[in-house]
Amino acid sequence: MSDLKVKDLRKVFGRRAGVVAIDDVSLEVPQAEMLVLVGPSGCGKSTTLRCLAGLENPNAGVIEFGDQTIFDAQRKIAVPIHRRDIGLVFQNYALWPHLSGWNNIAFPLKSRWISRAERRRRVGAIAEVVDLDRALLDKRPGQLSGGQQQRVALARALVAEPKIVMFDEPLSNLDAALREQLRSEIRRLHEEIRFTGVYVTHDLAEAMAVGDRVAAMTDGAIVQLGRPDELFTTPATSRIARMMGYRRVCVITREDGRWSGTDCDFSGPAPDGPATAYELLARHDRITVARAGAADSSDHVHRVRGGVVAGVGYLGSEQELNVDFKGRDVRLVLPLDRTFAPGDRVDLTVRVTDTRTFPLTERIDASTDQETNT
Amino acid sequence: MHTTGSVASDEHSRTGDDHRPAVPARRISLTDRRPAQMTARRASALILVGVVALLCLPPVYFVLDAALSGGGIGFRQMIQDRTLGRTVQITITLALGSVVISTVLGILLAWGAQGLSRRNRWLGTIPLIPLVMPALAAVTGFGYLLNPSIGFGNLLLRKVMFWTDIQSGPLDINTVPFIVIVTATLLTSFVYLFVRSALAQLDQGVYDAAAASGASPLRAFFTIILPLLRPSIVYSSLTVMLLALGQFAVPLFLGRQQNLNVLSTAMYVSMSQAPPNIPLAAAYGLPIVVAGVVFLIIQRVVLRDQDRFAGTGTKGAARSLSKSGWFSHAALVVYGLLAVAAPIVCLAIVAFQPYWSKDIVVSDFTLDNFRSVFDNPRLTDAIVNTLVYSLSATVIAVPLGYLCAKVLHRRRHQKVIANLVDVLVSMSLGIPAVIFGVGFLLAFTYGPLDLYGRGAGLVVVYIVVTLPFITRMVLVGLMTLGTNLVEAGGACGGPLWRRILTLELPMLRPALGNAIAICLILTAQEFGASILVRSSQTQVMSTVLYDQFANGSNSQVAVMAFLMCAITGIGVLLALLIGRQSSPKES
Repeated sequence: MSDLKVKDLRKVFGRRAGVVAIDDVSLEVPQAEMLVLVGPSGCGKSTTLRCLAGLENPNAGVIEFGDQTIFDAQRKIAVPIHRRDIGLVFQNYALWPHLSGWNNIAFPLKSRWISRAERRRRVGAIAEVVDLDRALLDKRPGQLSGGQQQRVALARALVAEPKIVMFDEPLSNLDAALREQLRSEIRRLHEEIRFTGVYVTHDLAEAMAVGDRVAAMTDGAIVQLGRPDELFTTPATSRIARMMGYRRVCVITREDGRWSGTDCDFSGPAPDGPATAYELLARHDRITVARAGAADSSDHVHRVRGGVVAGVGYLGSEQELNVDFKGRDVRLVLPLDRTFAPGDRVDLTVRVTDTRTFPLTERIDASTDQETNT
Repeated sequence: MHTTGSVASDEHSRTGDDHRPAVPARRISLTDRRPAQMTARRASALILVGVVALLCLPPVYFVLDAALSGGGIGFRQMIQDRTLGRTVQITITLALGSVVISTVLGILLAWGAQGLSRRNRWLGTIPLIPLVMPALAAVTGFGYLLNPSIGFGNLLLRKVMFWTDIQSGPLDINTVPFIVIVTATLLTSFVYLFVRSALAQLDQGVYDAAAASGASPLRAFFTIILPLLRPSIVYSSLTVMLLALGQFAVPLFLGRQQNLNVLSTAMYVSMSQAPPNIPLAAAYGLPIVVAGVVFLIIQRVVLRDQDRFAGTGTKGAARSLSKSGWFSHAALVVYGLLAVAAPIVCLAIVAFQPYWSKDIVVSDFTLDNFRSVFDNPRLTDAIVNTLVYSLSATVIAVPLGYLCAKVLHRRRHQKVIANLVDVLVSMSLGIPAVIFGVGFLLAFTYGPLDLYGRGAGLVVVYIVVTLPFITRMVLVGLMTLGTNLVEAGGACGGPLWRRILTLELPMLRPALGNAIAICLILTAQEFGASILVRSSQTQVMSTVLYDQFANGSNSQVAVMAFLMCAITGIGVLLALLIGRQSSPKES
C-alpha cells in the first residue's frame, strides 16, 4: 500500500467553452487512510477518481503514488491505468459475464503473472475476507445477486494488494438494506486490511460511515476536508451544511446598524463578515417545532413564527413535516410522538448555539431551501 | 367495452356513497382478451406464413426435385466431371479463406473505429462502403486494377524497382488467392457492421475494469473483449461463410476465363448450355443448400446461450472503450484506399478513357462511353427496369418484412407460427441467390406461376432475396423500441390499426428507413438470381453489365458499374431521408 499525493489537478472537458470538471484540486491521503470524496452530481468527484485511476487524463497537475510519479502534466508523465497497480470497484460492478466469480477475482493476479498455486491461495483467502461462499465463486455474475456481485467486485479490487483501492459509488445500485450492510463490510475490510483508499459517493451517511476523512466537493473544488465529525458539526459553507442535513431557519439583514430577521426573531450574535445578509442554518434534528404561541421564549433561541403545517409524511420510525412559512417550505424530521396535522399553526425555535451562519447566496431558492441550477 | 368474466361473490357497492345502487363486481381474468381478437391475430399470422411459404418454398422444392430427378442423374454426371474435385476445392478455399480474412480484418477495423476521436469519426464509415457499393462494380474495378497485363495497379508496381523488367503482373487477379482476397474484402463489411454494433453495446466498465486489474490493452482485448463479442463474431462469420459459399459474381468475373470454377459458377455453366442441363445444375447447387442449412442450425445453437455474454451495467457508453492509435487510423485509411477508392478510381478511368489502355492521358478523357450507353436502348431499358423492379420489390418486401418482424417479436405468444416464419425467412439467407435463381426459373417455367420473361418474376425473386435482411432490420427496431411505448398506446385505447399507424410506424422510421435502403441496395445490385431468371425483355443493369463484360466492352462495363453505384447511392440517401427521425410536433 502507498500514500497518495495530488497537486493542482485540473481537468477541463471540451475545447472552446470548456467545462472545468476539476479545478486545481490538491490533497494527500496517508497510507492506510480511507478518504471519501462527497458532493452532489457534477461536483467533480467521479472525474477526480477517474483521473487518479488513469481513466481520464488531466490537463494539469501531479499525481504520486508513494515515491512514484503517476502523472505529471508538465513533465509529460502519464502511467497507463494497467500499470498503476490499483484496485477499482465500479458502481455497476463491471464483472465480466463470461467468467465465473473465481476467474473474475483471479484476473488481476493472472495479469500480474502470479503462479496458479498462489492465485488459488489468494483468491480463496480474499473470498473468505469478503464473506463469499466458495460455492458462489463457480457461478457466473448473472447467477449472483447484487450484493454477491458487489462482493466479487470488492474481492477483485483487493486480491492483488494494490497500492491504492478506489471506489466509484459502489453501493448506488443496491437497495437500502444491502447498502447499509455492505457499507459496514467495506469499513470492516478497511480496518482489517488497512489499504489506502479513495471512495466516491453522493450519500452523506455512507461518506460519514466509511471515511477516515471526508472531502466535500462542489464545482470541481474541495471546499472542506476533515474528519466526518468536523464537517458535520462545523461545515465550512452553506452548501456543505445543506449536504450535512442543515436547513435554513431564517434570513437576517442589517438595517441602521442593527441585525434583524426578515422572517424570524433573531437573538444574535451579529455575524462576522462584510455581507449584508446572512442565512441561519441548523440541523433538522436541532429545530424544535411547537404549536403557535407555545414555543420556547427564552433569549437563547431564534424563533420563526407563523408557520402552517402543509403535510405530514410517515417515515417508519420518524415523521416528516412540511411547514409553509409564507411561501417558504421547510422540511423537518420529527419523532413520531409529536403529532401534527395539516393546517396546524406552528412556530420553530432553534438554540443559538445550534445554528451556523453563512452569507446569503442567490443560488438558494428561498421557497424550497434548495440550490437552484445555475 | 365489455369483457367476459364471472361475477364475483362480493356484490357490494364499491363506492363510499350509500345512495348509489350497488354495482355488481366482476372478476376479471388476468389474461383478459377477447377470443375474437386472438383468432383474428392468429389467422393473420397463418396467412402471412402461407404467403412467405409460397414465395420461399417453391424454388427450393424445384431445385431438390431437379437434383433428385431421374434417379439422381445430375449427381452421376457431377461425379463424372473430372473438374469436380478442383471446383469443390476452390469453393471450400473461397469460403474458408473469406471467413478468416474478413473476420480478422472486420474485428480489427471495428476495434479501431470504436476508439476514433470525434474529429475522425468519419473514418469509421469507410468499411461500410463496400456494403453499399455494387459488388459487380467493385469486382470490375478490381479487374481493372489488377489485370496482369494492363491493370493500373500492376502498371504502377512495374515502375517499382523489383518489377521493372516484367511484362505481366506481378499480381494476377484471375487466380484463386485473389478471388479469395477480393471476396473477403467485400465481405469484411458484414463482420465490421455486426462487431461494431456489438462493441457499441458493450458496457464500457468491462474494459476499464480489465485495465484497472492490470491487463495491458492487448490482454484486455483478447481475454475480455473478444469473448464478449463472441455472439456477433459467430453470427457474422457464419453469415460470411454462407455468402462466400454461394459467392457467384466474383468467381464468375475473375475466374471463368481461367476455368476456375466454384459450385455456383458450375451451376451457371450447366444452365447456360443449350439445352440447359438442369439436373446437373441442381446437383451442383444441392451441397450449397445443405451447407447453408447446416450453418444456419449451427448459428442458432451457438447463439442460444447469449445471456452468458450479457453484462450488467450501462450499455451503449458514449465514451469509447479504448482510444485508437495511429495504427488503427492507418488501417482504416489503407482499407479505404485499397477496397474502395482504388476500384472506383479504376472504374472512373476506364469509363472516361476512349478505350481501356495502360496509358492514362487525362486530356483524352471523354463522355463518349456514357453517350453510347444512353444511346443504346437495350442498356437504357435495363436501367429503367432496374429502377422499376427495385422499387416494386421494395414496396412489397418492406411491409412484408415488417409483418414477419411483428410475428417474430411476439414469439412468446405464438411460438409455432413464429418459428415457421423464422425458418422460411432465413431460408434465403442460407441459400445463395444463384440457387434461388435456378429454383425460380424452374418454378416459373414448370410451376403454376408463369412468370418467366416477366418483370414480376424478377420482383418476386428480389422480394425473397431481401426478405431476411428487411425482417431482421425491422425486428431490431422493434426490440429497441421495447414494449412499454406500444403498451402505453394500448392503455389509451383505440383500434390496433390506429396505434400502428400513428405510434409504432413513426417510431420505427429509422429501422424502416434502413430496411428500405438495404432493399434498394440489394435489389439494384442483385446478380446471382437475375442472370438466371432474366429474359431479353427483362434485362437489368447487372445482367447487361455481365453481357458487356463477356463481350469485352470494358468501357461500357465501367459506365454501367458507375451508374449502378450512383443509383445505389441515391437509394441510400433517399432511405436515410425517410428514416431520419423528425422532432415531435403537437397535433
